[in-house]
Amino acid sequence: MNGSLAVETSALTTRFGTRVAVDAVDLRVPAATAFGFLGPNGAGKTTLIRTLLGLTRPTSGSWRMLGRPMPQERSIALRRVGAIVEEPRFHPHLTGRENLRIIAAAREPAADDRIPGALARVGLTARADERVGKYSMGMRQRLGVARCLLADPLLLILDEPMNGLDPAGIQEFREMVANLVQEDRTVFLSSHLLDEVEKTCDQVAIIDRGRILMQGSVADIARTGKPTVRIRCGDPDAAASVIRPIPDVEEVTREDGTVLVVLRTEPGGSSDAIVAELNRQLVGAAVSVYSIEPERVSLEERFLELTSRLEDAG
Amino acid sequence: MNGRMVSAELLKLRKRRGLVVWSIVLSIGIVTVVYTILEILHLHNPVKYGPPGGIGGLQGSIIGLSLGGSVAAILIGTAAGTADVSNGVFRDLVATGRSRLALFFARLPGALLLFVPMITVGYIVIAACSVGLAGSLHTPDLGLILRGYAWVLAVTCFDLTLALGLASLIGSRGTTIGILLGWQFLAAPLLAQASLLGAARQALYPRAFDRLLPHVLFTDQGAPILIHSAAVAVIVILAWTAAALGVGAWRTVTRDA
Repeated sequence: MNGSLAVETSALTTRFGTRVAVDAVDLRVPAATAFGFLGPNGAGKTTLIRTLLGLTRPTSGSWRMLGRPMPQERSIALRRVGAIVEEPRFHPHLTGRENLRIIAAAREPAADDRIPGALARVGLTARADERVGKYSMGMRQRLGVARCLLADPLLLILDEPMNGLDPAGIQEFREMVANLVQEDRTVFLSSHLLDEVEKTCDQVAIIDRGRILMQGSVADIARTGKPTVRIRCGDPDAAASVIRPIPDVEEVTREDGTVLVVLRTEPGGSSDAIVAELNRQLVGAAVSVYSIEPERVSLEERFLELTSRLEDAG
Repeated sequence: MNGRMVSAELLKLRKRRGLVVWSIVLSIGIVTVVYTILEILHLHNPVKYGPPGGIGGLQGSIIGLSLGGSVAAILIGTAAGTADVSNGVFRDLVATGRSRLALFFARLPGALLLFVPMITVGYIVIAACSVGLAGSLHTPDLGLILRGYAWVLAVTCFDLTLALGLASLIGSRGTTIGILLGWQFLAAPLLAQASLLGAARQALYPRAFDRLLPHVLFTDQGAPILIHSAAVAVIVILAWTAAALGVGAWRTVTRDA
């Protein structure tokens, strides 16, 4: 699968009456990556996941899963797809192991043999013979992932998988995703936990109001934000006064005894010349400069910038 | 559909303790208790209370077993029809890529695997009592016992199928149980008495089963004979079965998972 696309949609649209939940989405999920799918509540994340899995019929558009046209080859494609849609649900009167047997029975016979391994992988072997009704939310999440693993999946689609996990559980989950990707599996992970997506995923798409606003590598998306530098110097007030009139400076703010400067560049363009000019001006004004460091734009900041922009436009 | 899916359906049902206990009470417990009480009364006062067995005993207990068994069948059928949807597991089953029709049709044999042994044990109890506790009365022969078993099995398995199909259509177990019990024990008997409906009453399946009951076991003297042809009775039952499975399958295929 390396180099190919695990999921590919073309103008995929899902309407409920007059409401457009998924709006002409063109999504490309590279195979063997951890792909984060970000969006605020009600953005269309779960509807898109349900549409991809054939749980909800799209209004128009087309899509492929693991290279197979959907829904024509749905049953073949989904054999190697494991999914958690919304919160993982189970028969509460059955044990964890029995719940896995129920799903394994709907898959190929080899799925039965994968049950012990799947339970071990999510750390539930010791509790597998307890009724699911007694499980905590975190344990249900783990069991949901175990259920996905029964497919020996090339693609895992996980909707908010970190809900209910404690910090240690989140750390384990992050390691598990990394291991799955190392095994050439694709993990498509929808979440509102931006920080976790940034730590867990290498590719990301941002969706809002049913539209994909941006997709690409986490680093690229963060980089497309406005470059910002933080200046430590002897006299921040004087520095701010010197910097503010410079034409390539968009915004200057004081923060924790430093000066935060937002630079005006083309998206993805270099800011080296502007930083050099800042330094020249400060030295010329006899301000002692201790350091000028690029301020890393987090995915969260980029996400908020993109989604609030859409809100303004709406 | 495959054997593993049927086995999974059976697993879901047999692990529901309340369902299993009540089904056993309705299909085995009641007839056992009734025969026990009648035998105690007979032993205590043989002049006033005759032996509980014989052909007469089989007559009464077959009707009793079919009523209790039908309620058990409705409980099991509705549980089978709604378990996946009400527990939110249906979407996970659909997401495996398995056809929805296969998911639906695995429910019926799974439910029957739980129910048929229970109703069979219940019938063995009444058959044994009708022979063993007959005293000086005529005992039913093997042919009659087997025809009676086939009838009880047909009535109760039909009710299970109807309950499963309707529950799959409606999606709510409680509502389906209410509808079926109301229909079975209230609406259908009233409609059977409504002469203005004329020949349309032949479509009532309880009357079709009355027609198929071995003649010697027919006890409901007050009920009108609405269907004179056994073939018509079989067609009515098959039509109801097909309709129940049809609507259940249709809803399972079209339901938003």
